[in-house]
Amino acid sequence: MTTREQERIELLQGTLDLLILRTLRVGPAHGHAIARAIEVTSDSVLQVEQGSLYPALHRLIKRGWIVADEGTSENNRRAKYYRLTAKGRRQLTVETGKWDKLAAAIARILRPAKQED
Amino acid sequence: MTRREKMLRELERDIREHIERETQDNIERGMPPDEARFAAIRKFGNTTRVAEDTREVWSMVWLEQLAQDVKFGIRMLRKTPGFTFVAVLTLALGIGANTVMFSVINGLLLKPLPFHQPDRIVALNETESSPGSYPLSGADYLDWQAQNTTFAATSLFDYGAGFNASGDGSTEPAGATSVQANFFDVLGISPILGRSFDPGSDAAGKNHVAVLSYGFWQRHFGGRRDAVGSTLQLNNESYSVIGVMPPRFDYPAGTDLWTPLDMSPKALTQRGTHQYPAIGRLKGGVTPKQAQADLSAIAAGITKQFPNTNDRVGAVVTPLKDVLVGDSSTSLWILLGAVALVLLVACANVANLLLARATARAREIAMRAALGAGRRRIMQQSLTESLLLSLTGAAIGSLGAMWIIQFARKEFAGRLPQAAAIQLDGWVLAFTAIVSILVGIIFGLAPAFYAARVNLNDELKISAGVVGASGSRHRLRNILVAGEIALSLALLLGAGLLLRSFSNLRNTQMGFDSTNVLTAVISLPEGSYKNLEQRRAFYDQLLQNVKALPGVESASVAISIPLRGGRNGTVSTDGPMAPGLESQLVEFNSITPEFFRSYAIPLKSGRTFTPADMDLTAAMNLRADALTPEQQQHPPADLQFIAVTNESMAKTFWPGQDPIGKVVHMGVMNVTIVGVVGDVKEWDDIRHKPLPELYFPSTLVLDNATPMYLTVKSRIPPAQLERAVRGEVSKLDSRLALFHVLTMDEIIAQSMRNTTVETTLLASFAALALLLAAIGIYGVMSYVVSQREHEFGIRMALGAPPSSVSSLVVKNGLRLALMGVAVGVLLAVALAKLMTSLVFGISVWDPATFLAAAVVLTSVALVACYIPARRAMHVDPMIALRHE
Repeated sequence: MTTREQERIELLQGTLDLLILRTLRVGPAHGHAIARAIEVTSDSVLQVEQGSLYPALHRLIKRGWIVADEGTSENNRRAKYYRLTAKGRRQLTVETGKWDKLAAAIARILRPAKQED
Repeated sequence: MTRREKMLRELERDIREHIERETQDNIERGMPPDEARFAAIRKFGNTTRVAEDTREVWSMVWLEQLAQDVKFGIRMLRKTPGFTFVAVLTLALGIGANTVMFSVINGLLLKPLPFHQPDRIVALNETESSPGSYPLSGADYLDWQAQNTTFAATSLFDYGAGFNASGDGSTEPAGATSVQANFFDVLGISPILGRSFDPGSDAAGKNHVAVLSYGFWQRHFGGRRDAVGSTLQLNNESYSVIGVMPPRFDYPAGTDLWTPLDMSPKALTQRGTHQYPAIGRLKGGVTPKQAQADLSAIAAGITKQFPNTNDRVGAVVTPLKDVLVGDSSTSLWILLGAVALVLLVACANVANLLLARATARAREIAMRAALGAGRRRIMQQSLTESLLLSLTGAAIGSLGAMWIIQFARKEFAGRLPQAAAIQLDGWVLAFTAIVSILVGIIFGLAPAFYAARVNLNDELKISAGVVGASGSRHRLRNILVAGEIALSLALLLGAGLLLRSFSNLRNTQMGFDSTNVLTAVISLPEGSYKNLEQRRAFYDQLLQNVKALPGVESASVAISIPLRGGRNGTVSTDGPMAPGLESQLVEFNSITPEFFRSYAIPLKSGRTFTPADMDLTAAMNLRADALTPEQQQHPPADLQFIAVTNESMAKTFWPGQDPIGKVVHMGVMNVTIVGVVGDVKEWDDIRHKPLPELYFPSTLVLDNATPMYLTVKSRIPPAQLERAVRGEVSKLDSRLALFHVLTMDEIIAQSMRNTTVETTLLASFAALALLLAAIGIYGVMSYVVSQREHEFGIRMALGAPPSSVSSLVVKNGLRLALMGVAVGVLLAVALAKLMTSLVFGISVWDPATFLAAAVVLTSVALVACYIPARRAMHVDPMIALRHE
């Protein structure tokens, strides 16, 4: 195991949904591209076992937050593109707000000393 | 294909694509192909698990859980066949009875009448100053028809008559209604074969055509299509058959065939003589109220024009459905309410059984909770079992209901045109489904809550043999039983009130003796019996021959008989009349001399008729018929008729005076009273008080071809006479049929039919509730005894006599019963008012009936306690103590 791998963080449950929604806000993408995007934008700190993406994608489709379109990729192959719905866009705002609150709360608990400094 | 199926089907391809892309990326990063692929797969994770997890996103967890619960529930119910049998049977009875009652209500009251736009069809009647509605006079109807602005069309018809129908040899009675030619158009029903009446066919002389009912077509013509166009002999006159109505069309109920009514003003009755029912179809957007106002205005105009005949004669417009449904709607709703109470009692019983079982299953439930089943899940499982029970009960109950509904349909067939609509159709099934689900939840909730509240720790710690019952559970069972008793008391009281009413009706003074009296209707064809003399000769000969039959005491012919009256009008007397008397309805009957003897109607004063009276009336009648219109306005003073009156009329018209010799005037007739007889119930409603009545010699009506009632009083049971009487009729004229051959006892039974049906049903519902309540109290007391066996053993070991132990149990049960009775009495007092229209000769708060119901119920409860009490008495102290 490399040091780099040790620094990776396991995702909190449900956070993956938020990350997918955030990724798709830029535009439609296929499954692999979403996984890559999460990995790259988090500087590979977040460890996503790529397979776990799929139950999450299906869950979001079932909730009506994203839809899957059939399309052709760069190299002319058929691929499924996932796209944010209006409902999903609203949900992203809600989830982001929740996340910010949670993060701030946790930060206050973990670093109270900083304020005393 | 659903979204779910599509997504899952493509999942495998999506995963493959994903791994290929990652492999490609890896290769681009410089990995050798094999390693690149391996890394991609490793990074993706376990593909099988990913597929499973994804599938679970879409899986319907609740459905799978339900299937699991149902499977488990069925297994549990099969493990306790005795419990399952009792519970399902109880529910099947309760739900089945509700299904039957609802199908009757749905068919008769809720569904629209089987006509086109039925809510626009109204019944037309006239009224006199007293409230109520009477048939129309033909002349008034013609004015209504000509002047109204609110009806699309109106149609007049008659009350129907029996015809002797013969097509090929045999003669059979046929009930025929004569109708205005537009009758079927007003109802909006077309024949399935042939045509209905042409517009002109109700003109005089053109009316020898007939439309058949489907039933008569099947019966008389074997359903042959060539029946249309063939000739049918009705009272020896030829009618050509022009059409056949659809199978379900039965209006007026019981009609075999329809012929056109002669609508010429001459043929219809004059003002003052009310004899026709009528219907009308409202124009679109017109309410019955507006139509009522329209006709009332016309009627007021007629009154102004003809004050003699039409004083205070108004119009009555009633939606046809209200007329047809009439009084039966109240009793049907009450019966549905009663049967719903029975179902509640059944629910309480099953809830009790389930609670007892839940106690026994406490360990199992605790075990499941310990293994991680959540409260919701346990409640869900418990409710699934309840619903399984109620749905199975509903299925079995519906099968039984299907069978009973046929009888209900037959009961109303020929009486109501919508009887055929009594069916186990989609609406009824939906009702049953909803009821059974509600019921399943009602009786399943208590055990479900109990199951969810089981205390793991306690239940698992207690040794398997002793299962403790918490106090609250015990209290709940007591409340259920007391509730059952309360509901049963309400039902029992309702049944008691109806039973008392039934016996009151039975014992009502009808004013006549029905023993060994046979009645029948004879209709003499106008073509063969052309005038008064010919008709009189026929009846005289028939009476003479019938009286010669062995066993016959007397015989008579009359236009009405008791309970089959309804011909009435108003009369005037000499001098000033007391207020209300000029509009007082007087019942008219025309009879041969032995009528009073046949019915044992007592002569109170004066005399009855002699053969000479028959001759005199015949002669006067012929003279009256021959009067010119001018003479009718000023009738000759010597048109003298005689009549016998009844006590009711003597008291009403001549209080404190001798009615003999008094004169009343009816149209051109001056009628002298020669005798007074006792009152009889004239109408087909035993609750109705006898009306003032005038009896005339039969020769007053024989100038018309009116059907007449034959009455034969015998010393032998009338059933034995029927063949001989039929024989005498066909000996005189082989083309005549006898209609409505009934004994007077049968006529009385028919008059009481509604009360009989109501009483029978309510009594059986009450009996069912009583049985269920008894089972309930028995169950609870048995349980109490088994719970306290140990305690009883100790008591007896310490010297308590067995009788004190048993009385302890009985007291316990009695307390429950009395609590239930107390609540039940309050409930019954509240509900009794609903019964007002159903009871007769008794108050709905009759204390004796209340007391009797309470005593019956308490006694049944005591008996139900007795068996467990005996068992308590025979507890062996040694065994009970060793049990620990």
